[in-house]
Amino acid sequence: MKPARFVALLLRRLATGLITIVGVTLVTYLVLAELPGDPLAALTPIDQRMALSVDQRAQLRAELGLDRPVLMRYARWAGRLLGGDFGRSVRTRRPVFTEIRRRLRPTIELSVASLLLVTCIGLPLGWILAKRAGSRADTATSSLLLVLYALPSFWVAIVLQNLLAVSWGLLPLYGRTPAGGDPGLWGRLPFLILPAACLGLHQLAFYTRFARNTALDGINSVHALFARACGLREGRVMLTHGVWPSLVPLATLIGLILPSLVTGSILIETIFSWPGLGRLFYQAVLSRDTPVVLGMTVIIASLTIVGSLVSDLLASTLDPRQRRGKEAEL
Amino acid sequence: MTPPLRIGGGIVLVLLALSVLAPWVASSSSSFAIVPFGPLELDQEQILAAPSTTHWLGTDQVGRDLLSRLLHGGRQSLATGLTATLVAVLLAALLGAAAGARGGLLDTAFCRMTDVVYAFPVLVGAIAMLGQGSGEDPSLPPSVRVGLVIGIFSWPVLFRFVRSEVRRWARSEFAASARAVGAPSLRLALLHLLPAAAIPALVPASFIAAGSILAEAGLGFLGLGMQPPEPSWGNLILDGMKTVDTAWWMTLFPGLFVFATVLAFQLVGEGLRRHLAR
Amino acid sequence: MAGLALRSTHPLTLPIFLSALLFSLLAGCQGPAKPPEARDTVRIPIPTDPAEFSFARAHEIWSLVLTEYIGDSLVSYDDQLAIQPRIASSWEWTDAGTTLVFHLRQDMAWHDGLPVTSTDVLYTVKVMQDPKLATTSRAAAFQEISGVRAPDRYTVEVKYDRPFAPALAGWTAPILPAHRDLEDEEHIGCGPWIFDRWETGERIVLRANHEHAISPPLLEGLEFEVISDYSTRYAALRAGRIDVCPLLPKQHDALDADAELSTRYKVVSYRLLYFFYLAWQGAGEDSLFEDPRVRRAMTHAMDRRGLIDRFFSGRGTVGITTFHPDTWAFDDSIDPWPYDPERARELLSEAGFRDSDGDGVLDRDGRPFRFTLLISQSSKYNEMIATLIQSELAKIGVEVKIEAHEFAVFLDRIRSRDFEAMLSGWHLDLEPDPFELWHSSQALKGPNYAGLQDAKIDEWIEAAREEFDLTRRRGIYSKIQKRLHELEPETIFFYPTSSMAYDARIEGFEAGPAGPFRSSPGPCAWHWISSPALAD
Repeated sequence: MKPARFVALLLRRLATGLITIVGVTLVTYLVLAELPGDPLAALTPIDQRMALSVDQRAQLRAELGLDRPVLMRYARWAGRLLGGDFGRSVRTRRPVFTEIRRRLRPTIELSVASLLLVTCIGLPLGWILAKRAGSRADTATSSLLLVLYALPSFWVAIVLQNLLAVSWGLLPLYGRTPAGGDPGLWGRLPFLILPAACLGLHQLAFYTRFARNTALDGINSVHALFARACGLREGRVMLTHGVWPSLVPLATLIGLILPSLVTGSILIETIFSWPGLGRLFYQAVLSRDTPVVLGMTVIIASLTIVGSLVSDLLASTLDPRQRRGKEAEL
Repeated sequence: MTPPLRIGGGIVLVLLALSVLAPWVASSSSSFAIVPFGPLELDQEQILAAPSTTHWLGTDQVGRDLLSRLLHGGRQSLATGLTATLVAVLLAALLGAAAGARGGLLDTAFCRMTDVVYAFPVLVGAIAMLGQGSGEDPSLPPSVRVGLVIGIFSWPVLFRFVRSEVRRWARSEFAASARAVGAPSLRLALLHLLPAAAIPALVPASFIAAGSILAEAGLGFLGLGMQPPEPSWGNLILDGMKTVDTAWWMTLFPGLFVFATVLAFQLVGEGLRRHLAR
Repeated sequence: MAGLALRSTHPLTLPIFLSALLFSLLAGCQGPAKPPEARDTVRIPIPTDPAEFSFARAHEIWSLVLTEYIGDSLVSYDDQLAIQPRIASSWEWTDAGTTLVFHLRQDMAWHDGLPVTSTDVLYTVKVMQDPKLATTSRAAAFQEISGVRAPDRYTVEVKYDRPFAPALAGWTAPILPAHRDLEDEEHIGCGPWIFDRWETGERIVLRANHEHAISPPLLEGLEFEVISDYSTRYAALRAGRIDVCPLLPKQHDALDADAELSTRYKVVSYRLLYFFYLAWQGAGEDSLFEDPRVRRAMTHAMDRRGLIDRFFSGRGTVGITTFHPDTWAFDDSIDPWPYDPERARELLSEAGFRDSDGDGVLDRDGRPFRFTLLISQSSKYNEMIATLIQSELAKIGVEVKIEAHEFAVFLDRIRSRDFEAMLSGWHLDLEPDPFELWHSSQALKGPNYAGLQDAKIDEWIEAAREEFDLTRRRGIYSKIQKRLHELEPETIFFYPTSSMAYDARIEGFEAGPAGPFRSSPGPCAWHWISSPALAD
């Protein structure tokens, strides 16, 4: 692709991405405004003496702009966001940006670990299975993958936690670092194994099967047959007709995993007390901490857009045939 | 029929039958009862009792029969799964076919729409659609509402699939000849391209069915599924998590039921794939 | 095409493959949990990060506990629930009970070295009376203060508009440093524990303030580990990752049954300053519960003792009123309404409810006795207790529908009094003044959720607030309790007994009237036994 066209494409995608973010945040804002429930729930305990007086509640509502029409509120919020201000959490009164930043690193660690699991174990395994299609190893592994996919991941998390951490004491039970100081990335690794494995479990099963099936279709295709007839060695056939084409749809799909790793981890984070963004988000939604929910929405939406852009670019780089078609549709 | 299709289909049918018949099979007042306990009946002498000859799969923290609750819960969860799949397939098929056949602005608009759905926080959507007046809305049973939510958030994957299939067909000689005789493109999409794309779309659809059973359990885990004390598999798994260190049956059996169902749906998908690949 | 997934696989392939996968995953990881080595800190689990480290805004239980540890107060409760000196070495009432004079110790210092003086007390009052700054539930006690002045560096005079007997209890709140900003991230206090660090979502670490003038801790520090799940928490205790752990009834039974665990850990049981209750909505034209006889019938219909024994392993006390059995104000001459379904039916029929159409559900004027019980999904006990109540009331012909909502929605419904009956819990203060719970001014906007408006109770509550003599005040509270018992605006379902397990090598661990964390001296008295025989 020529650089100029590439830049133009990138700009066009960023522009549509921006529109998507506006769309998502607007819809989220409207939905949040209509949600039943006390907007100051985060500050109002039901089971002990009331923290806020009637006047304080009125004042906080004014501070949050709850007495203004919802579209005006959205405009004000969006204006501040452009200036880099995400607002303050209702519950903790700390800036939303601070709240998110504090939990960003654990989330990235967990996401990267489970992505690595999918790409470094899942894909090669899928290709190997495709190469040995029909063998007993293939059959056994394929059925195991079906089984893995069918297990609810949080249920697996609980069972594995009870077996490996509680009964056998092989892995840490919860958390990200041991009490008494951070031992560095290497020392934190055992803490990462169970959450990352449980979080990546379904994706691992899904993508391994996917890689196997696409690669298998590729090496059984007419083109592959022709290549073999021309005297190409089997390894090369596998690479060009099995591995390579299976990367294209995979690139598309992996772009879609990115946002789901952030939001999909609520259950795993709860079970393993992992200090990530998922729990922050869950707690914020339940306690109607609107500024935090919106801040997270912006982040998730951006990740989705970046993910889909990256996967489209990857796909068009990997598959020259798609370039024309892709560009036409972008 | 390939064996996976047969096995998977068999399990799905048995589960469906058991769930549909649950009010008669698992009830204290029915003469056909195999399990003589209703899902809401308390047996105060048997609290958190391990599996026995009276309670085959044990009882829960207030002495309700776990098997009875699992069968009745299956009603809810399967209804959720089927609704979700139906909604996702319908949305994906219609929008995907239109986008694939027409292309251009319509296509771009639909593609951006999937981005919005992807980027929208599912949790907020779920609370908005499930939290409001929970259980009081008589127009739709809660299991169907949960299914709607899951369907609405899972159609984009299927949409991309249908769209690319339809595009492929739209470029084929078959479509070109149809156009040559003057068939309008939307009619072409609905009458000719959609059926062509629908058959391969059955496979990913079976994944959505499987995924939505898991999603229902996940929503139940977050307290957004069915209203307690009505059982659903999600609620039962949640109850099991609270007692994982004291009552293994509460954790094991709901997990196994969900597992068997999802596996069955997958086998159906895998069977269909092989059947079509022949 | 590939072989057939299920048919051609050897039955053992799957288990073998699974275990191979597991072991390859686990190779090189640490071995089984060793018994924890002796430490000079104690690790305590907390369910989530505290929202706040500034007392002025603390509104959650763990925010309050931590700010109380970091800070210190003018006075506090002793283990007999009498007020004892802290920063204030002495105090006296003057001007017929409208002025309270505190004399401060001169040896108290903030964690950054500056002395604690009357300026800090004045600043605290200023902050706590400012609705923009103070959003803590404990700010309410400061609203009664009409003026405060400091004649010198170590004397404070607090003025009240009228005699206010519960005033001293309000001064158990921590004093804020006047020289620090409320947003200060160092969280400076003058208490026995110094804020060390907060690892978000993981732990909060406090270190001991050995220079503390009143109660220097014996430990070196406290580590609060964030563990949200109850089962994980108990597992963490068994694995030795935490030293203290609240136990669910079932977990307590399991621990007692395990010989090894029950020697490694001791358990203290104490009645929580907490009760579960059902509020009957008595207001409104078509309320089912406007008649006290109906509300009493509800209480009579529930076999509370039996339910506690069966479902909570007996760990709880049947409730009578909102006055806690362990406080001085409690009148032990009142017996709880006993389990008596016959009496319940009688009371209901006196109130006009009969099963006239023979469908098994009572009715009156053609309207069946059927109501919705509102619960919140926030506590796992709510659903369980609601289910039990549903089954108990069904036995006397009352039909209950349970409606569970997420917390924010539940709160909204309760605050707007949009419910027929609701089940919830309540954290009591050690100060028995029931103004917020039962005064009619709280019936529409405060925590008097049942909406009780009773002139006699109002009068007594106000009289008790001006009565400085404890015996006479107890007499007034006794009248309030008898009246509440007759009216039964809420069924106080039960006061749960909590069990706290702790490492057997920790000494000085006492339950105290407010639980092991919030009673005096609390963690300041904890220390590890150094004896080598026990240390392993």
